[in-house]
Amino acid sequence: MPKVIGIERVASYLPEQRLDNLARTTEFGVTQEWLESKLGFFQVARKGVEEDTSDLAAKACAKLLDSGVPSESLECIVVVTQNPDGFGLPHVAAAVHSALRARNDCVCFDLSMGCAGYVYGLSVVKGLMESNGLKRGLLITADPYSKIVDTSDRDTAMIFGDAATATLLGSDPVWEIGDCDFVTDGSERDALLVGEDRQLSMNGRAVFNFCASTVPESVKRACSANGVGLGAVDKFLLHQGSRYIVDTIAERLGAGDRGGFYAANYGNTVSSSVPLLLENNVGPTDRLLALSGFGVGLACASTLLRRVNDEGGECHDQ
Amino acid sequence: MINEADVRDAIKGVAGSDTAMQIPVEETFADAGIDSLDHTNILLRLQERHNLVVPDEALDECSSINGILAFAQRQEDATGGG
Repeated sequence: MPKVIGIERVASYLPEQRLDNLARTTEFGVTQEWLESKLGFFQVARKGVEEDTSDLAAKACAKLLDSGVPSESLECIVVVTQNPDGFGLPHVAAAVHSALRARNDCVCFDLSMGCAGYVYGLSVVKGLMESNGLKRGLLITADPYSKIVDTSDRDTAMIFGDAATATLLGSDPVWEIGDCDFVTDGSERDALLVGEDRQLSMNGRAVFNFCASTVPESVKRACSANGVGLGAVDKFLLHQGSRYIVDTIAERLGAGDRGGFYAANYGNTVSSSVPLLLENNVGPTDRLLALSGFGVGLACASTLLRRVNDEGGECHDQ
Repeated sequence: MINEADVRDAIKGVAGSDTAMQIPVEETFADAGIDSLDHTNILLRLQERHNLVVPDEALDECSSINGILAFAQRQEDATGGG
């Protein structure tokens, strides 16, 4: 019988540099009240100009491995990104493999997904490891949108922050990964698009409509598939697209303060936003977590995490 | 066919009871303090509850209660509904 693979630990790297949205309200014609109650982001994290995607990824991995995980024990490295190093070839996972001095038989590849990517990645890596008898692997998210955001574009410049996370998956998990629910509406794929100018454009209305109508139903299906009612969920870890979208989805789920917004000081970090919540915003008494990521595609993926043992430690590096 | 009460109900769910009751039918949402996010949310509620699909090109027209009702009437007329 193959061992069941789950989440053992999460670590992250948030660049220290921030862009201050409060200082840009006049430039973008918005009020501080709107910033606080609707957008939600006072600051967005920015990587250094010398840092590339694999550097962010490697720094998140270093924090994870510093807590006692030898890189020689890694059997797979999967990186969720749509903004790889340089011109996109080779894959970021190969650069991380080199930075970590991982084994040559370590499975390495990138997964091209946006804000829904973490849940997709959990499902892919869990399946890959279980079907191949792998015992220890890394799921990395590193998608610095500062590479593609036009700093003068009001629709996107105040939203996206840079970050990376590293999740250790293995056979001695803190969190068991449940069945997942996946949604794609490719007819709306242009709602988040990088065009010929290599810059991101966003149809906020289309994105909002997809998220508000699709995500709550996806979360409900994921809970149902795992035999859990919404009332039993301790925390809803919702992709931090903006305060408004998190509040809207939480309201439609009846989540109350179980579905919070926590990204005010670093921004929408794309596929890193859900693992950042898992690392920093889950308490020792939280036992059932509903995760949902949503965005580029337009796509959505939801799942349930169940704490494996009652005594279980916290899911981050100490 | 949606009516004024339906639109006010959608406004209530997004912007609260006071705004929903007090906004004049001809006043634009922006003038009533309803921003573009709330405007989008109001139209989504009308779409989900009453199948009123407002394309992006008609957003400006549908920026007041009267505007929405006029748009809905035209849609009704165009599809031969009664």
